[in-house]
Amino acid sequence: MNFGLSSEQQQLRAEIIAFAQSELNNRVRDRDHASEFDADAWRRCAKQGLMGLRMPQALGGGGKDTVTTVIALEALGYGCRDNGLTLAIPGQMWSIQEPLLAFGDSEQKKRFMPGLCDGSTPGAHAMTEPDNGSDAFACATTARREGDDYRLDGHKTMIGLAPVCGVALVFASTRPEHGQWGLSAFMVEAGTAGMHCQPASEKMGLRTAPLGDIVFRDCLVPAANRLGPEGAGQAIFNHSMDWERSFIFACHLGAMQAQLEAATQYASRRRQFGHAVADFQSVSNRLADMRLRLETCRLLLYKAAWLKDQGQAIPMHAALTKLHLGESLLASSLDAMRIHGGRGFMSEFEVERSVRDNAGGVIYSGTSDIQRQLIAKLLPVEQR
Amino acid sequence: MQDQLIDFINNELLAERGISIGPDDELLLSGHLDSMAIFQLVAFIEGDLGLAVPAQDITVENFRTATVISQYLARL
Repeated sequence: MNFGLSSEQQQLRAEIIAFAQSELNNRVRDRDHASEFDADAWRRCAKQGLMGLRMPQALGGGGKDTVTTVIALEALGYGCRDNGLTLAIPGQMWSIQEPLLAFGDSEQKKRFMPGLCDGSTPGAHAMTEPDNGSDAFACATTARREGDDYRLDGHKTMIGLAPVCGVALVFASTRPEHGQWGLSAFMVEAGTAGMHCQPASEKMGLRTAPLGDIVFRDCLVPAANRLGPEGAGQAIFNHSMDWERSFIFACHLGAMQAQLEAATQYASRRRQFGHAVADFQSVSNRLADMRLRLETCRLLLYKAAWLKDQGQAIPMHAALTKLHLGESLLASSLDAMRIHGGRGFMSEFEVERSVRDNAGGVIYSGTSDIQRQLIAKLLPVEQR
Repeated sequence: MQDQLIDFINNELLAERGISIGPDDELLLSGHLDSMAIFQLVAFIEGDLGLAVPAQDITVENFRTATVISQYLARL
């Protein structure tokens, strides 16, 4: 077992940290207040090769393994303070590019992957609807076959990147009488007649990540845009969740490291009652808990990456990783806010923003409650 | 193989609900097996029967009944 980084990985990490610190932190606080996405930063990340890291070079990617990709994303999160951007990038990578790579035919991959990798066509993963959430497969959007096309009708909500997307991976029922087994998946290009993308109303955190609704009314999509066979929607969704739940927080791990460093420095510098506040056990306990969470999160994340590089489906490990990182992020953000005291509550110091941004982590990509349910249900399989 | 599948489904996936299926009973459209149960069934097929199931093959056409599943697995 080797926990070390290769010299190539260390160099990649250093390059990405330097890139992120110098190029991606423009007006973060102002843009958070204005709920403004930094499209230039998105393009710069694509140019840096971040979106395509794990994709084949022949499709515009970097051809890296999963472990190296996670190292790069952790570095991105360490250097970049825009938590919306560092959620949106992996969101596209894991929930659009991975299913396209696994289920797309060669023509579909050639059509869609280069634009996803070079940032010119941001990808949205469109599953959630007004009446489905945790019960994701209770999908009311329909796709009726009409000759060489499907006619899509329905409403997707709270979809990441929807207002700026160039293409959306849309889940719709091709056989409503089959319930969850009648779902299929489609790559739908923005601008297709009958597809309407709308921004969402203001949200608590992650305001720099665009979120919105996509409404389909008599939207004709070529059958050539269907990903995988009819009825494979559930398998495609589960496949994308295997990736997304494992690695959606890869950037956040780097942010946790930066958060811990900032909290440690502040606690050493800030003096009360004649002592640095780090000398008080209530404060030092919080720092120790943050450090332990960082370590356990890193171990789970990198083990997930290693397992993926062995070619395995990892539903148990994905659920463990999503649950632990989501909860740890929020807990450490609250600890960081308490360590900073009043300054932690003020927007100026950007500590409170991490609390707002990371509160969503226990909800999106499957709530913590759902992850616990998945883990418990998978235990008998693991123990057989 | 079909008997192994039926034993697994009845003993591991349905026993707690007091349901028992036969070779041609609907598994998916009846609601007997949900997506989590399919995870478990595929893990059994790959772990105990030693057959790799491509994710895109997990459809109602291939997993509708125990008979259909064993026919599908025979084609792998």
